[in-house]
Amino acid sequence: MTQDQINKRVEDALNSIDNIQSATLSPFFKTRVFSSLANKEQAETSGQFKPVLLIVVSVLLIVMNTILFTNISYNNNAEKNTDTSSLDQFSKDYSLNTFTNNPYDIK
Amino acid sequence: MSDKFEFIELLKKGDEEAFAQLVDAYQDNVFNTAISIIQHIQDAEDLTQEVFVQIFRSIKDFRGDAKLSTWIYRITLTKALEWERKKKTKKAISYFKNLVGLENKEEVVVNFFHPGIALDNKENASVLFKALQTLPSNQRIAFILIKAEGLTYQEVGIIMNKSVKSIEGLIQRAKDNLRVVLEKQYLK
Repeated sequence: MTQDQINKRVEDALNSIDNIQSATLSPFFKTRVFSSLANKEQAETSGQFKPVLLIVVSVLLIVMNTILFTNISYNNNAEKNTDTSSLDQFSKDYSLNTFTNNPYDIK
Repeated sequence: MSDKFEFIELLKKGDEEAFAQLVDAYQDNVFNTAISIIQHIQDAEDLTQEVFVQIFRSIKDFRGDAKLSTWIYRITLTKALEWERKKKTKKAISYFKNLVGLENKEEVVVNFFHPGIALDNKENASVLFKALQTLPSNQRIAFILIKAEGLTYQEVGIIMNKSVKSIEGLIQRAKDNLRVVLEKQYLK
């Protein structure tokens, strides 16, 4: 191929997109855009809802745990109190000395 | 119609009828620009859809400093370049996977034929589109907008935020680079 022929082909290629016709989209394109918008909106709404749900569930869990924990410790304390008071009453009733841990304790 | 204040206000309010009119008015421009840049019909259709979703979401931020068409072209170009970057990254990952033996896919190079080009020009245009891929993105965009989209230097200058003189310079450099690439191609 001569240089002139090459130059001509190069110029032809450079000008090949000058009279380009507009390519058209499918007739359903608009429907696709609208359904994509609807899908994205739906995904966003559920996405926004998720963190709120997570926070609510974790707050509920914390509250329930706190209630349970305070209830248990309150019951334990109450049980302890009743135990010692009934022992005191018992020792008083039968005129018993209170026990000490030290066996060499001088009374 | 598209630059009327009332029309833009309707779009900002999320009016679906106004948005449908906007899609009708600009879908071909967006699609044709996308197709020339990413050189894949199905990808260009998906990208056009993404562009309109983006337009619907960010129309509230449109201040009206530029024409609506300019703004739409800017979104299209940004998205198309982003798309290209992602594709290149995917290609590089795939190449690496092939290299280490994690994947065994051979890359098939397919010539791109623009659907809007007349049959007798298809071969020349295909060679040109291949050569266009070797250009820096700003030269390529300027060349496509002027040659394929038929925009004026001034319009392209506004879209690319450059002076008419620098657009002329970009086109000149694009043509010079393309001549070198095409010459090499025809000498083979």
